[in-house]
Amino acid sequence: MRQVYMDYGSASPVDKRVLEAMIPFFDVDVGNASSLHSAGRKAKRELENARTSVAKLIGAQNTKSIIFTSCATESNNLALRGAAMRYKDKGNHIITTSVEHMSVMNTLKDLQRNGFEVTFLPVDKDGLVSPEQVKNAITDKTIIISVMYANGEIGTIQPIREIGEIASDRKIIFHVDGTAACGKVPVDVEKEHIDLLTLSSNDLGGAKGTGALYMKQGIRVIPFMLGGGQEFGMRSGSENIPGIVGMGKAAEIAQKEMLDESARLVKLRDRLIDNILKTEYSYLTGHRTKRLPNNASFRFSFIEGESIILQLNDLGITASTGSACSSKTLEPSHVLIAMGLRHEEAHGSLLLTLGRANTQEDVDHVIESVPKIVSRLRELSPLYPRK
Amino acid sequence: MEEQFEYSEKVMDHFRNPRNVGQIKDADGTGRVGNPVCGDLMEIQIKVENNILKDVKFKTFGCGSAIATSSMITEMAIGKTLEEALKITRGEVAEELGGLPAIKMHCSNLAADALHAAIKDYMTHKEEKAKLEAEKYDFDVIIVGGGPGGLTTGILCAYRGLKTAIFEGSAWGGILSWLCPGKMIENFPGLCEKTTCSDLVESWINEAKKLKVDLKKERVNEITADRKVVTDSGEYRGKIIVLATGSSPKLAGLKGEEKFGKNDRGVYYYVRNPQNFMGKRVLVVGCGNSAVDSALSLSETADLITIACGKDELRTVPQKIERLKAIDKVKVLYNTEMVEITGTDKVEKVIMKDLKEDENIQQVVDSVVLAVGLTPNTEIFKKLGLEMDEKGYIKTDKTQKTNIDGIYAVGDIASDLQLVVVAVANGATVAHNAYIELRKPYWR
Repeated sequence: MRQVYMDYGSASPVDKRVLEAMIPFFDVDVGNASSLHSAGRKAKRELENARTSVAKLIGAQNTKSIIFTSCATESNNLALRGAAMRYKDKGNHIITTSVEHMSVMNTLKDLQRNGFEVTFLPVDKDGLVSPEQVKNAITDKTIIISVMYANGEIGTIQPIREIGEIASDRKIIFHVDGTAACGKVPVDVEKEHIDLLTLSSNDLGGAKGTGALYMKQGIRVIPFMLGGGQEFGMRSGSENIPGIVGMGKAAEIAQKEMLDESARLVKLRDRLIDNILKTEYSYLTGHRTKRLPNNASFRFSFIEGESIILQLNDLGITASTGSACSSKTLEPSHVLIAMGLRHEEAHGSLLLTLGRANTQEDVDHVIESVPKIVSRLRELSPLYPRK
Repeated sequence: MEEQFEYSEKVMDHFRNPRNVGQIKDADGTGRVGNPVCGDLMEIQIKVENNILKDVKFKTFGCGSAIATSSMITEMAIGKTLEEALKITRGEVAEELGGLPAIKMHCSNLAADALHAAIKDYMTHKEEKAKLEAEKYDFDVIIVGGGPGGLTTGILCAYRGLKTAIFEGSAWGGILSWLCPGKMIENFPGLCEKTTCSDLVESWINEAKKLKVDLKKERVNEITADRKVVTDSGEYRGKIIVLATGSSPKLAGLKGEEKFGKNDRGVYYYVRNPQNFMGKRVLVVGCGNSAVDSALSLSETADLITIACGKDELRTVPQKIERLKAIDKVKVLYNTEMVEITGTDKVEKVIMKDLKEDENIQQVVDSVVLAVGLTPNTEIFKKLGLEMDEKGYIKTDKTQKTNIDGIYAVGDIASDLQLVVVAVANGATVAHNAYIELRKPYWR
């Protein structure tokens, strides 16, 4: 049976070239970047090379602005908590959207419990927030605006440059969670006036366990990992050299291949969307065009997502859902709810995220399988209206 | 997402190949639990036969475990009694499936609840159905028999606003219509010598129609103790049944009676039309009113009328005796008993016995009228279990109630007086008591 992996948004395979670059640093080049011996100096060199690669990917002028972390969640925590603590004398108001990743949502909710005021901006039916909404929400006390570049669950890309201009005008720190977007679409921290940008290695094709935070020169945050003062004092702890080397390599490949690869993925994505939407009572979630090249997300009325995922799994297809049944909290995806979907509509969600290994044959297998599963589950459903 | 991999093989089997999916046509019970908002919705339908779950089908919106538990419980429940099925717990369903991930135990393990809901729905429906069935009456009062007792009971019940039907298989008015339609009404105060029997019947029919009594020309074949009346054309249920089947002329049980009793061969039970006896020699058998009436009505047409009375006097009112005495061609033989009616094709001769002399007498006659009295038409009620006396009259209390709840009897079947005025009075009594029984008025 054809095995099709279409859950790149949850976890991606490590690019072979990346893996190759990483391997020596597990057993041969094991020096600590803080050590003075040649092994240590080699590690330090590779660390800085990786920093340069990542900086280049996002148009950062100064390589010192890249801080390596353990994951995007840590980067989001460091950016928001750190900036809030650093600038709390200027104000206590933070603006964000209601479709952010849980690492942003929960960090801000924690700050809210600790005296900060947070505005969670609503989104439209496509999951978009408008620059006007952001502008209107700004008060004298606003110190941070945090908007994700693109939503991994629905693919919608936010108007980052416009929001960045507003933030820049008002001298408000602009944090962007770029986890789902970096490596898929061109991100330019200078042109887009981004002060803090979160990245994840795995989403670029690197290994899990590494992330990065771009921190514009001149902006400092209060670190919460204290120790040996690594990463310019922003993130203490011995550097994960194999992971960082991998991330650097992945960023380098992404920068070279992103445009071609994205164009290829857009074709596959559109083929998926156009064909799957032929199923009755099926709907696209997220914006049709302002959309990540690798994201095809849907919802189907009268059926439930976990069942869809399990049935697809039996056909060799790996995918994801925002259904409550598949969540630890038994709550449906807050993103789908924020877009105005009713709970029972959110339960029927299917998320397909494409990646490097996917071919048109894979896409066609999915196109063939999804309607079968949908109608099979509808046969079981007491909600499905019989004709 | 890691939760899904904790599903047991059995869960996955039931999820992949769910058993008993669908809906049951004309299901006996449906149970729907859960809520699409919370992620799971189950619908279970059951078919019950003799308290056993003959079939169980499901439809489920929800995750893998919701589908698997629904499928599992249908297998567990089919063949069980309702009581056994009600004892199946959520835990047992999960256990039967080889366990469920902890997070699925609550929301997605509702199959037992859905089954129980379906059974409760069935039970409620059953109760409602029985209640509806019990309340499904076609009429407040159903009267069987359209003679004087039946018609007047019907009129008086309808007058009190009770929904009433009268069933009659042959002639409306009963004995008054087929025995003596042209006869003047006697011994009915207020009507005597003014009204013929058929006039009286006609006025009752008109009155009944005016009061919207449902007059049904259907022969009743059976009456059941649960107050169902079965006719050739249908079944009707009445809250109260009134029996008013009246009486018929009694057979005399004579030798030759059967031979000449049909096809106008000379033996009759009543004088319907005196003209048919023009110039004939007629023997009237009997001592009672009907014998005397027969003789009197024949006196204008017949040549010779002999009354054979077994007793030493006629049982009638004095003025009729006087009228008889005044008619020369009427002769009364007292203490004379019938022995035999003879003849070839038609009646030619009768043999009687003079009880005082203890000798047989023969008399040449053309016709014999056997006016030996009336017998109640109660034979058909024997199966019903009605209490009757040795003569076949139905026993009633003073409200005309029989021994069976909700069944009353009026007129000739309930009283050996066999008078129209008594039948009418019975009707009044029944209407009064039926009204009290059905409407439960404050004054009672």
